[in-house]
Amino acid sequence: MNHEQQDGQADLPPVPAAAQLTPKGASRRRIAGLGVSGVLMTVASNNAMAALVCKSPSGALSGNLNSQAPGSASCEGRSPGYWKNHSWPAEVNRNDMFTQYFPCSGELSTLTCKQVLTTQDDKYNVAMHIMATYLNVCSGKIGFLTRQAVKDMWSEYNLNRIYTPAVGATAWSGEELVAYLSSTQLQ
Amino acid sequence: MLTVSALAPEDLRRRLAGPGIALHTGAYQTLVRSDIAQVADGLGLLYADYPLGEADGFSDFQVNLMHSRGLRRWWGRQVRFDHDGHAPFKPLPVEQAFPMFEWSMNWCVSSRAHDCLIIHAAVVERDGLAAILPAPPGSGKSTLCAALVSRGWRLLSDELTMVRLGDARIVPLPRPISLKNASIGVIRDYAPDMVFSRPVHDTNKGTVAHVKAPAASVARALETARPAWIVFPKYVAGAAPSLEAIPQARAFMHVAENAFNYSLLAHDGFDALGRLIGATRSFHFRYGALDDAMDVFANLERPPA
Amino acid sequence: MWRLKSGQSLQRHEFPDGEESVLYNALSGDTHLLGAAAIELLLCLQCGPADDAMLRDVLAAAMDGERDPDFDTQVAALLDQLSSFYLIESFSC
Repeated sequence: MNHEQQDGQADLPPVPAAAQLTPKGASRRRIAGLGVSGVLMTVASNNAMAALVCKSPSGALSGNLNSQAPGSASCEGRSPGYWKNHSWPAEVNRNDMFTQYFPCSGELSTLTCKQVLTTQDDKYNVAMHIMATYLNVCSGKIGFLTRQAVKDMWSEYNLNRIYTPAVGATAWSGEELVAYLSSTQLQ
Repeated sequence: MLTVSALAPEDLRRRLAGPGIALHTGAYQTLVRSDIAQVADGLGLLYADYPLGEADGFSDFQVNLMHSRGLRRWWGRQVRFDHDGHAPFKPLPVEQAFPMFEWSMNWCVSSRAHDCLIIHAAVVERDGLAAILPAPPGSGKSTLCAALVSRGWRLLSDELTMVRLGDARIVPLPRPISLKNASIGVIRDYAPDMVFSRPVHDTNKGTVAHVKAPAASVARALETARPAWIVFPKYVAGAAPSLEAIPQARAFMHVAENAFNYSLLAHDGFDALGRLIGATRSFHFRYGALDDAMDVFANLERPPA
Repeated sequence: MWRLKSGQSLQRHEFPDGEESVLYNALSGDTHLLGAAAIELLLCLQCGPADDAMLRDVLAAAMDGERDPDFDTQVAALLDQLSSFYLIESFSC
């Protein structure tokens, strides 16, 4: 995806002179010129989430506290592809059944943890990303989720096909959940 | 309700090292445990007015700051933060224990409290209207916040502006104001009556000190406020004060960039921020003298009722 | 032919002090600051698919003053930009 990120108003075109405002429902909108009229700026969801989960904006809020994991920040999650080819944390065996950690039924319940990494369980590959996230937590590559939190994410999604990130928040679809989990992984 | 000041220092230290204390900050209750003198001293000084709950009751967060065991012991004593048994950060020298406590409290809220849109900004209130001050580090936000608070503005927060989903009212979280380096001296001069922690040197941010929130702000910690202005401050030595309006759509984007959980909240974040921007007017504010800033803020145009 | 990308609801905030809007991209979770032309195109496509010529006409009708000589190129660039953000997509009938 092509995300343009601009910091500060210096990179934005000047604000158009107040155009004639049309009453709501009117079909006509006055446009001064196309060059300054497209998508001017984007706040990309991935980066904002990374700022949330990993450190405060500019690291200021938490005093640039450094993560616990030896030699790495607590925000170096890896993708499912990485975990296919690298050694796993001792507590999770590749040949353990996925359902042992993440209760499920149907085809998923016949797969090992290793197999789930390459299985498309639904359109969005939620199980695959949940497995990778769990490995990220167990290995200390990410420090802001607990094992239980990952299990809770799966159990809600498995039951309802949505995940509610917080009380009062709009529920996430599988696509949004995967977008979040992917944002915790190094690209 | 019992406040921290009701506990004698030895009692405070003993409870912190044992069952912990349940500290109320605005709507949140945090169970704090620590075996470190600097934490007990900082709490006793800067949190004297804060209510205490039952240590064995429900707490939103649990924060433990303990002497760190392990390999680093021979380098000098260290403090380790963990919450709910989970330790996301490396230990720091024990001298930095109180700043670490403050940073850990911020971290708990900013990573967990998703019933609000959380903006990295200070927020103060006067005569029923709140001014939000988002700003990257180094822009003088905390200095300005401390100055405004010293001149009668209510402190709602120095770092975390909590915008309630649904009605966009500001939920207070008044805690000590953190100052760095030169701004410590500036505020000591500007507001000699404010209570300061002992400065802590050689942190990642340089020298850090915390200023006690006024008792009146703490007493009103459960009183939400109506947002009216969003002011992006920039301190420039010698500059004449200037206030420049920001078009609302652009202000929306700038605030989104300064919000911790804007994207996490998805549609709800988009709606809450839309409501906030619709209810406020936004400005870039450049200033070179605190007295100038006080005047400008005192004269901000009030929105229609 | 162009159409809105499936799943986009064009959740948007307009403000009375200007012609720019902010839009929530339901597919990416991104938020975009949009100028008037981008909004015009998206609203048009919300009513149904349209081809390049129709979209150019819609924009031309909304413009103040004379068309820039690069108008067609600019419209094409704008459509590509919107497509790169997964807001719209082209398709063949």
